[in-house]
Amino acid sequence: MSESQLTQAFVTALGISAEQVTDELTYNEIDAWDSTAHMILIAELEDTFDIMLDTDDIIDMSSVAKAKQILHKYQVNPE
Amino acid sequence: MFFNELGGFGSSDALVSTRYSEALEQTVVDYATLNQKAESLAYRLTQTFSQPSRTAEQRCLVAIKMHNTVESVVDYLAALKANMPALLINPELSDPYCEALYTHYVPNAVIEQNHVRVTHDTSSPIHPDVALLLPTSGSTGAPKHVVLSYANLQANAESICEYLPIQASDRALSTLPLFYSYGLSVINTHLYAGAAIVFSPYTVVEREFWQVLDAAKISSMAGVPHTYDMLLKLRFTRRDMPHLRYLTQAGGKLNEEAVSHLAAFAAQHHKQFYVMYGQTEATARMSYADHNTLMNKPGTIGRAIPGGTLSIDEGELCYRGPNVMMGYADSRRALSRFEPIDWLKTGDLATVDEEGDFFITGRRKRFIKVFGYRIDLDHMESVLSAHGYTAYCVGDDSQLCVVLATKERSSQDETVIGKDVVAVLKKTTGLHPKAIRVKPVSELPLTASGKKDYAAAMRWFD
Repeated sequence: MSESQLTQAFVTALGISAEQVTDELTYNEIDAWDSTAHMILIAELEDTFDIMLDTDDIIDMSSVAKAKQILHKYQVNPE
Repeated sequence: MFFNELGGFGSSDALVSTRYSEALEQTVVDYATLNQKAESLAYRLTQTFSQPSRTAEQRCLVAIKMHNTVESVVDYLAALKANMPALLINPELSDPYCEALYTHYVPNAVIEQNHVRVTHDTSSPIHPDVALLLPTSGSTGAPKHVVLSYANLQANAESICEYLPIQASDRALSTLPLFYSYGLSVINTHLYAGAAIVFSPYTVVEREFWQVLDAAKISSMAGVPHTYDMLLKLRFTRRDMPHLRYLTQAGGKLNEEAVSHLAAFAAQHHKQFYVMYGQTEATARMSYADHNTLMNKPGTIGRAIPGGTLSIDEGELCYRGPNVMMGYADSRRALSRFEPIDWLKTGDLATVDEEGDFFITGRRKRFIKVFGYRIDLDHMESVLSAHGYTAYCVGDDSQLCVVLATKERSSQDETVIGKDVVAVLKKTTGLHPKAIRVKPVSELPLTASGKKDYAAAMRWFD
């Protein structure tokens, strides 16, 4: 997993700038990350990394840091 | 009327607000208490505006910022009990939009979560049957509202309770906005049946949502297509949900694959699933289909609800019943007189099969529904025009597409303009930018007869 790919998925799904994508960014903290954007984010991540996320992982992906953690489970490793 | 009979359910749970951190935290308001709270607020309102001294046709009107909370339900019931017409407002509507609404309807008070802000005490001629004004578009603050009577609310609640398996022991999760007719109908029907309504601050993508679902023993949920798209993406039908008895879907057409999946899920797990069709213009519901029907006909909207009649007139679906609105209004002055509506023209095109099940085949009006937002395409064109853009708005239920006339502008300008158009539409509709596509063209397509060629416009996005 390249950091830039992950960042790009957040940028596209939430419609925010790359600088805003920090580990601390959490669901519902900004207006742009609502439930609709969350589902778009999930689709982006699944497309980008060619994976299929489990229900629990979709629900647990409540911050950028969490997203990184979860993606590691899918053997999506940093390049 | 259901709102005057709440006290009869005594100590049964009426409204439950929940939170979840490690365990379920819930605050329960029983029917006796709810009735008391609503009556005391109603009394305050009547005292403030000295209603009884006025004639039946001289009435005061209140605006309610309708949150998905116990307090907002109390506000709503108080207005009904006080015999004051209530304009329900999306609480997320920005201040300028609210102010614009107030200039049209001049409310005597604005109520939000039990706080009453009195603005003036001048009454005006308002038809004695007027109970409620619901927005036709909750997100744009357009002045046009659907006007419903007390009898409309009662009739639709009674009818829905005849076909949905609502029991006094039920605990329904309130997931939809309450200024929206479908969300409000969940409240009305459960209060009519003496059942409980549960409020939770969570969305389906949060773990706490599912914890509340289990711990609060939720027995039914209502959703629009977007809700079910998310639920199915979360593969929720694989979950064990022992307390869940039935699900309802309305507010637009859910794709047939999803309907089939949900109908099969219901059949396999001894649950029930209903697809319903309706409009705010008919208070909420006009037709329904249960999962047994949907297994064979996933595209159907079923048959008319008890007490109503559906028919097709020159291809257009029409409805008659006691839940058909009094009419539309766009200002306070327009609330004094109404021409009775015999048949409601839905604006939807439909067919009916030999068994009497109806199918929506298209729309007469140009509307799309994306992520649960109802978008009037003609209105979007006039919004863009107000921003100096000449454009056609087209689309389907997954995207809003804009064909933009950009004469003699460089391609670099086009990107900037495209972004601005997306920003304008995002602000107006609340729609996610990914669902808005802009195609700059040098000339907008016209049909042979010189009309806007929307079919050609749509082909740009294939």
